[in-house]
Amino acid sequence: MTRSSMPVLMGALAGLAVGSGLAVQRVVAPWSGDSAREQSGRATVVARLAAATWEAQRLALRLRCFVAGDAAQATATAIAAGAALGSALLAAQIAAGPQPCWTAAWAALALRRLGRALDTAWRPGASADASLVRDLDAARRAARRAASAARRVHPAAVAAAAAALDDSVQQAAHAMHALALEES
Amino acid sequence: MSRRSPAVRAGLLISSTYDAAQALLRTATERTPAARGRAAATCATSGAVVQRLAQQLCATPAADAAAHVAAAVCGGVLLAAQIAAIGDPEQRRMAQRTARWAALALRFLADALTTAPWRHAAREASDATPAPRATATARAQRAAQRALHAAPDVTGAAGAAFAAIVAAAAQALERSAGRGPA
Repeated sequence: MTRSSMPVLMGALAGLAVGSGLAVQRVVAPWSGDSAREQSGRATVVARLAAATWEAQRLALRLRCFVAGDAAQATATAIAAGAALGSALLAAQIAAGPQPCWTAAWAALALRRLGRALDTAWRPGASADASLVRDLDAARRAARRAASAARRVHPAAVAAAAAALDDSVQQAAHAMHALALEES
Repeated sequence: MSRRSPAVRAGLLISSTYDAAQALLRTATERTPAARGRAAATCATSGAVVQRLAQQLCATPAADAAAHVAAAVCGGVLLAAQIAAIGDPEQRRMAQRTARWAALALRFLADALTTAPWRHAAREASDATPAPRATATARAQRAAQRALHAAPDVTGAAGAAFAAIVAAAAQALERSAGRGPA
């Protein structure tokens, strides 16, 4: 592997973060009913989240030898946190039935903005890019809101998973900021 | 889905949970960063397999318990990712204790799954196994709590999430005790 493949790998990792965000939201998206087929559909989304976690870990491993290693590993951990939250939400939903879910909406936003920020962070001149700061701030705030929404409404397992996502997103945002400063 | 397939899938779910536990342990014990990263990726692979199996068990009497166990494995994947990323040797030694307890918690959950009533073809078989199941779920919760307290500064919120999700999985397995075979 050469350094020239880094943009491709970073782009793929950023895409996984964005995709994971969308998947977290879909886990608890409103459904017309609660048939077996719909339940199975949500489970498929959660399975994709877990598969994205594996792919993210693999990419982080390949990127470890470059300057982006820390940011890549932190992002892979945030994606794993998204998978843990998605699984906990699905499990709670199967046990207790569907309910409105701000936790998923905020967590999804956090991962999506984190993915966008990652796509910017490794590029030359990223530290001067205003969109990076905006995306990182939005990701941090959204993760915090997901954690506080989960504390208010959800069972303990979901609240703890949302807090872990918050923690991971803060770490990933910090690593991306450091990456942008290094690259400039 | 055939009548017997939930039992077969539950068996695969159990073995994948054991695999995830093994990989989680290796994220702390492997000597090189690359090997630890590979172990975390392996743990995530098992997590993906567990999720797929849990998905196939949806809409069966096993759905609730399988989904919660899959969530616990995903919590383990998060913990593995966090531990694999630790560079400081002192912190890694602390994280090893967390990884050992967390892996043990996943193993006990897998043990509890082996006695789940929907794994058996006859209700009589399930009636004979509540005591081992209760023991295994209690041990899983205790191990998860120990994982949480082993190195709170190192694993942070991931440890707390893992402990809470394992507790929820243990309760779901207990709830499933009242259900008969699929």
